[in-house]
Amino acid sequence: MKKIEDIEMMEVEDLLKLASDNSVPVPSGLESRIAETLLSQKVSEDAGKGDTPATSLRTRWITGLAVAAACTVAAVFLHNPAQTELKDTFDDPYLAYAEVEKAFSRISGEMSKAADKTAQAARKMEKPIEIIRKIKEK
Amino acid sequence: MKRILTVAALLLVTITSFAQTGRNIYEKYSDNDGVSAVYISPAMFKLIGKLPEIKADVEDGTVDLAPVVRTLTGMYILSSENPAIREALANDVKKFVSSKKYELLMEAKDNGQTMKMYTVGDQKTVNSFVMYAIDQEETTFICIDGNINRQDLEKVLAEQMK
Repeated sequence: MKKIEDIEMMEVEDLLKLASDNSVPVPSGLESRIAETLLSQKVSEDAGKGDTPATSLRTRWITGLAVAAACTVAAVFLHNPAQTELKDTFDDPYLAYAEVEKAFSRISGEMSKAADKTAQAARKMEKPIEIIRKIKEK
Repeated sequence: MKRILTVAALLLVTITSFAQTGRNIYEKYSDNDGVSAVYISPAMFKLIGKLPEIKADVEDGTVDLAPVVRTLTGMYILSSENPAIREALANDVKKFVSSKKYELLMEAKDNGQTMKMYTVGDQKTVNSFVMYAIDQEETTFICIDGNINRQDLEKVLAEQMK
């Protein structure tokens, strides 16, 4: 029996001669196997033709949205894990209040500093404004 | 498909940025060495609200903190002298205030000291107030959440500034 490599090396004329040689026996069931192969190829081609461009686009969008939704859920769980109960620093409301008061005092202290800086800047601006006013009067 | 992946990536980025809260920052740093942390819960604020006297001493008398304190739902304070933590905290606060659409209320810089105050809310209500102060030695982060009447908050702070 010839190997596939040998058959591939053969000339077309030799192949035709071999094909017309009735003395060579045809393997049993070869015809039905070829028919089955051709049929399955046709079925798969027909299935591909049914997928219109619109359907294909819709499928892509649905897949994409599913991916996006999965990413969203993953992100929510990754970045917002079940929050643990935070423990109050103080058990006594008076102590907690003292801390609140301290925080407000700190905030207003910082605001005071900023306000002082603004006032300083305003005072520095007074001199040039005075000079400009005098120039205008002349 | 590229467009879909872009949408997914954008969703991820958006969710990541929205997930950052004052509480997240507090949880991240409060247990670290060299960090002093204070948390006051909504339940504790309710208790404080029931105290008979909620007044703070100021130069010319006292100021009533009750209208503000009763509307608070959480206070997170962190301060640290640790250089590595200070740097990391600075990055996280920067992301936090930009992600939650905080409005810069005030910024002051002087001799290496920086102080920034941010609020988020509307014209009448402040839902969150953040103060972030850095000096040569220490970094302080204060985040106050609640439904604070803007006028009441301004009044309290102005009284204490006197």
